[in-house]
Amino acid sequence: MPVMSKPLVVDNVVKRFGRGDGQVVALDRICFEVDHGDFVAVMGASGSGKSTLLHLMAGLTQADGGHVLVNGQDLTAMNDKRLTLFRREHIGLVFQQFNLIPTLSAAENVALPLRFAGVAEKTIQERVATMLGKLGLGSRAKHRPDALSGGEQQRVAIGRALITNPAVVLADEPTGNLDSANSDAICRVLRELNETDNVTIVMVTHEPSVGMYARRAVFIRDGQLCRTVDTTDVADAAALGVMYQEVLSGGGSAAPTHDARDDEVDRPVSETADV
Amino acid sequence: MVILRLAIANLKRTKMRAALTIGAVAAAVSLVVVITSAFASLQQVAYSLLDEYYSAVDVAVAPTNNADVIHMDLVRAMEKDDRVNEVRVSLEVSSLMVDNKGNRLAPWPVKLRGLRDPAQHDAGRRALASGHWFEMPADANSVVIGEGVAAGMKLKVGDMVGLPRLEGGPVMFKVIGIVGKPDVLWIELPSVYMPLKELQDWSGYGDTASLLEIDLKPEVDFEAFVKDWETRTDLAGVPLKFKTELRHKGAFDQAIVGVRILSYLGGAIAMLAAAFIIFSTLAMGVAERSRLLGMLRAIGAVKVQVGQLVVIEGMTLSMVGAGLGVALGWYWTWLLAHHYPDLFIAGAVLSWGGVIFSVSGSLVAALAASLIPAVSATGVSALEAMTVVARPSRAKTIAVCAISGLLLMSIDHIIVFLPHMEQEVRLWTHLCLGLPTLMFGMFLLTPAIVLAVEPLLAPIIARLLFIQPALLRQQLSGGLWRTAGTVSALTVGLAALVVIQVHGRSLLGGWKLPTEFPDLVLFSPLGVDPKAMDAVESVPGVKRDSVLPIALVSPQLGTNVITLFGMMQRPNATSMFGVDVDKALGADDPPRDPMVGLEFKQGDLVTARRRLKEERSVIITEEFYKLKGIGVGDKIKINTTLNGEVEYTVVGVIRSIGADMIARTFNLEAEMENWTIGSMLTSLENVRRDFGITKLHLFMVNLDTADDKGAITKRVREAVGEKFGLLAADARRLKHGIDEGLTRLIHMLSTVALAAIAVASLGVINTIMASVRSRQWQLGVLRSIGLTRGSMLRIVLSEAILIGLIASAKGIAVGMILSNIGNRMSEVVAGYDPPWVIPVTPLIVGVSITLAVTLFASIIPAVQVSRADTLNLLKAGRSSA
Repeated sequence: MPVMSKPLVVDNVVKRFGRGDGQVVALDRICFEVDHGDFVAVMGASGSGKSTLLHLMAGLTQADGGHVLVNGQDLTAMNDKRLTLFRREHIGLVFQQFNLIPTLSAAENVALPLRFAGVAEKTIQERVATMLGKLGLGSRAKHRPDALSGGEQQRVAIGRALITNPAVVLADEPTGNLDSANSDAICRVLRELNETDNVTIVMVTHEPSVGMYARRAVFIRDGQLCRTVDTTDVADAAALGVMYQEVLSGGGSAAPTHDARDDEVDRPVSETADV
Repeated sequence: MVILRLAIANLKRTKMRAALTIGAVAAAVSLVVVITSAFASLQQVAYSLLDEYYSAVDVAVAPTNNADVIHMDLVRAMEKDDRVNEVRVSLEVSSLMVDNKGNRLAPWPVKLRGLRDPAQHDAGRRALASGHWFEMPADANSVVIGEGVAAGMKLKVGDMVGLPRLEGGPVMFKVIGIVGKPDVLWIELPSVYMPLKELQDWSGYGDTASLLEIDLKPEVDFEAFVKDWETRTDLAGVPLKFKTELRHKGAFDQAIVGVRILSYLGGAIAMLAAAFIIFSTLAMGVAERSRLLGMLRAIGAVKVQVGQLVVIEGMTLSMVGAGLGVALGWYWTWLLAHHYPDLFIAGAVLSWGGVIFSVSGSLVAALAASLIPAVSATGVSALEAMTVVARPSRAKTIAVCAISGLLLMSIDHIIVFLPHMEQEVRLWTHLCLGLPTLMFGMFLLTPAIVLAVEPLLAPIIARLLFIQPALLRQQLSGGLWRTAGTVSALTVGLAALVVIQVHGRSLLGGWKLPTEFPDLVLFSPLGVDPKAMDAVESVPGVKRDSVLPIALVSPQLGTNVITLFGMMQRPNATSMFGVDVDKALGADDPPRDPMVGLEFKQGDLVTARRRLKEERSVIITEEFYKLKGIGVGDKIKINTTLNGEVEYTVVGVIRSIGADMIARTFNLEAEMENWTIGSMLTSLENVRRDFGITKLHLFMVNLDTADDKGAITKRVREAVGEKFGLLAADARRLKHGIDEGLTRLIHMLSTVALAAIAVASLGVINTIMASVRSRQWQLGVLRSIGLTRGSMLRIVLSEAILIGLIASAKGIAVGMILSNIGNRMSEVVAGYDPPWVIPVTPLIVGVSITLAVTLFASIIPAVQVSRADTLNLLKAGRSSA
């Protein structure tokens, strides 16, 4: 029986910004693995390194050390073109600002990655219709972004991220531009996709209420992973918020927080805690 | 396909910007189309006239020297040739027309055409406006005049007109018919038709003709016929030139090639401005959409696809603009033809060459303009999708561009100023490599110029407009590339204006008559024996023994007047002046002052004048010397009419006196056929011996300057004009007239540059609108904390003023650099090193127009933003930056 690669492995990744005395270590030997069908929330304060981690996982920036593997392929060893083509096929991205093209309809926005890949038009139409239906946007297919609510726009963006059936969806503060009602709606969509379609999701957020929709919450502080929480063990968002505040205030342990799933994978060599 | 959809989607999003850019391209293309179509329309007229005059003529025969005539023995021999169907004979001379008292009917001479049988000629077959054609012998002493002549001299059928005679009163002729002729040409060729015999008798040419139009039988080989008859000077009495229809058109095409090139170049300047506007539009599109482009990269668009997106946007703008431009150009041409039917007698003729040139040119321009934005777009990181505010241009990029720009600019200077380079190589390398790299280099330098100048000018403008200087600190550098594009677009027009004015005036400025130069220039359309000119000396006020006869020949064909400005072709001919050496250059025994003061660059006056009388020798002008690299003692091979190729020895090199310019003023036909730049001086005897010149057309005369010069000139004109049909003019006034004419030409050419500035104004609107759009949030914040609407208006206007000032400074600088190169190239191409002449007024006008255009273009966006609601501005958010 063939061994399937994990959708995402972050192995001992280091990322620095600046030079000399002004150098800042944004990520310090991070190790991180995500299984198929997992839904992980990466939480941390501004400047903690959570967004940088997401950029590295998406191959949008290069690490100064370590490796990032998606579906077993090392992103750090790829050149720009290969990385772009790989990302097109294996990684879905959801942005805080939605980043929809204002002059294209919802359906056309969702179809973009397939069109870049040169997929047959008939296939595109079928897949886009299915995706919009699944996201509850079937009736809004021909609407342009300015005719959609913020929540609908983000759902279109999620559809665009999912249309290529990626190995992992990386969402950067997907609710950051939404009100609480729309925020909840988007989180429910993500959770539903995770539960029903087994979509693997890694989401960066600083909202405990959003983090609660994930299966696991990973806290990051000063470029280091410092705690992992199984959200099913947490009573509610308020409880997760308390844990989050502990981490922010330095109260949380920088030592590894054990996760049952850790035993199922080979551990990368790291001085810091694994998830 | 998806890239095309994205490109079109973006253009739809920025409708106004796209519309302005399309408008700029359309304006530029329409300018090319209308200029070239107008030229094509006029060319069509000329071709139809050529067809009319020569298509029915298999072979035309004329004397090699315009002053000569062909003996009718040749006609009679030709008529016996079995291959000849018909020989149409005419004699052409020019003269003034007078009334029965000898008073001129008009100040201009007419072309007298003596026809053996009007029915044979096209003119004779044409319907008359009134009257009838002459039939011999009943209609002896009759003429048929052209409509232009009838209008100009207020003549009608039945009136009498006269031709002046040397002795006695004028010979009178009755007007029996008026023939229509296209108005466009009558100014050049006001014609009077008369029986051949009458004209032969009046002119004293006897049994001769000046033009034979031969109709050959079918199947006859024209060229073989020409070859058989080309050498029959024994019958004709003079050397002959044979022309077939093909040769006529070829000569005509050669004569107008300069004008055609200019018509294309004029439009090309406007298209260059439009290209910069496309660049500006694309550059601001890339800058504004960095997040969106980053998103495309993040979701899987490869670099090439992002680059293609920008290129396709540029090409789409260009194609739509070109399509509209062609339609607009055609409409303008139609309007011109409708309003000026006299000039467009062939109707509106669309220049397909102009259409192809403008459409392909605009596409190439769009492609070139989109390259840098496309490369810039491919460099957008996928991370940009995660950022909120667009990144400013990097200082390193600007520095690299500036250094590259300087290096590129130096290429043309190396080409132009590098010694020991073959002239042809230098000219074509300059045109094909030097100029494009120079223009591109100047563009790359623009962002650095903006960065350098902005901190200097912005505080001054802020104070002048009562704005806090801090608010203008990054007015232009905030959108550096779009500013660079707009500045460059404006620069094109202003630089073109500076080049046309400075280079043109410099070329004119180099032409100075010597201190010693005859006062009066006389021109005889008929040509007279030099001795007949003794009569001039009897006119009161004319100095004794001071009529200088001059024979003028052009041994080889050259290019036309446009060469003076365009230097598009090297002259391969020279004007040779044959003069009475003693009169022109003075003598020792008996002592005599020279009539023409020559400034010798090589050799000396005494030796030169001695040797001119002794041998086949010439004094050459400095241009000729520079061009051919020959000096005193060198031999020049000259193709002569009578003796073939002979060697002349150079005995002096002088500064040009521009006598050839004056000589050609009297004879447009000769000018069109034989324009040269360098000239040489030899003895009258040499010209007579080698070119067979007997009658002379040009004389120069000294006046007794104690009397009123104007009055004497008038007396000479009246006295001799009536006798010989002579035209007389004050040499210095003549020069002044030529100067003025050429200055008018410079002004006319300058309108093209102004059109380019007008096109560029669309780019200014674009830039200001983009700038306002990108700073809505910032302006909203300023409004919310107390900035008044008036202040906001002034902030936006200040940006336009800054752009206008930088464009003006750069335009003047670029224009001066190009003028310097132009002056140098005129030395390389024509051997003429003009002095620097900087006409201040036109340059001030150019700068004022540039500033006015930028200010005017910014008014609408400035007013719009000043009226905008503060909340709406704030809603635009920082992401609009």
